[in-house]
Amino acid sequence: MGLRCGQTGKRKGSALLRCIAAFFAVLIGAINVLFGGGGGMLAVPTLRYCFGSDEKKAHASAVAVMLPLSCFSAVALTSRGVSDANLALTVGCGAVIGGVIGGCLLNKVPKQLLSLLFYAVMIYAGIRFLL
Amino acid sequence: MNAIWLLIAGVVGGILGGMGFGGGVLLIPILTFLLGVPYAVAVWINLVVFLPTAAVSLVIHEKNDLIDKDAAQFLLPLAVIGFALGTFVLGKLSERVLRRAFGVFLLALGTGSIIPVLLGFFKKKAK
Repeated sequence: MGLRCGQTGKRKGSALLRCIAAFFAVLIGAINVLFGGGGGMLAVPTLRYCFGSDEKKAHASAVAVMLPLSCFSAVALTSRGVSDANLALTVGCGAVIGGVIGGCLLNKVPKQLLSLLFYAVMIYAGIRFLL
Repeated sequence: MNAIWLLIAGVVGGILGGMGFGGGVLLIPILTFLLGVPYAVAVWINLVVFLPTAAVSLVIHEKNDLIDKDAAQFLLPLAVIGFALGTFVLGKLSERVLRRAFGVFLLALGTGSIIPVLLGFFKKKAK
């Protein structure tokens, strides 16, 4: 199977890109079960830079990878006795509502400013977890 | 635990996810630090909450022919190997170590992502 490189989608089968994609794929799988999130944030750039997918395709294809992985990871954690269906149901209802709101807001808020805020909060959360 | 706050946490994660950000990476800290949900449970909730919304978006993406099947078929088996390795390591690490590792991951990902955004922001201002 050859990888697609560049916006043309032409198959070039670059061995280096193949190796980089393979490394990130393994990392994404491990991160998903260890941290429960963040795999998609690595999958999107992997798809963009190693497979030449545009932003929309990269996000869509990342979901195709992350969905089965998250399913396996959830089962793995449940089998270890980690679960709380009531909490998940409440948070899940909120996430569905939020997903619809987020979809509507997508092109209405300044994405650059929001990105800055999002990554700043991520850095802050990272520091909190380290302390 | 107050159900309203859990719902709001879900809404925040959903909004970020719906806008194409990794909503999950912030849902875990929100649940852990603001609502006192145990870290492992927060991780599990994040995974479970992702499943139905991802399933719906996958159907839509498939209809719109947006999925690069070759790329997904290349990545998925390798990611499953990573999952198996991660599951093995998971059993060996304490929650404290996992929390710290997640912290390093967030810090690295956040720093790596904010730099190009900041550069773009200042470039725009300079024009």
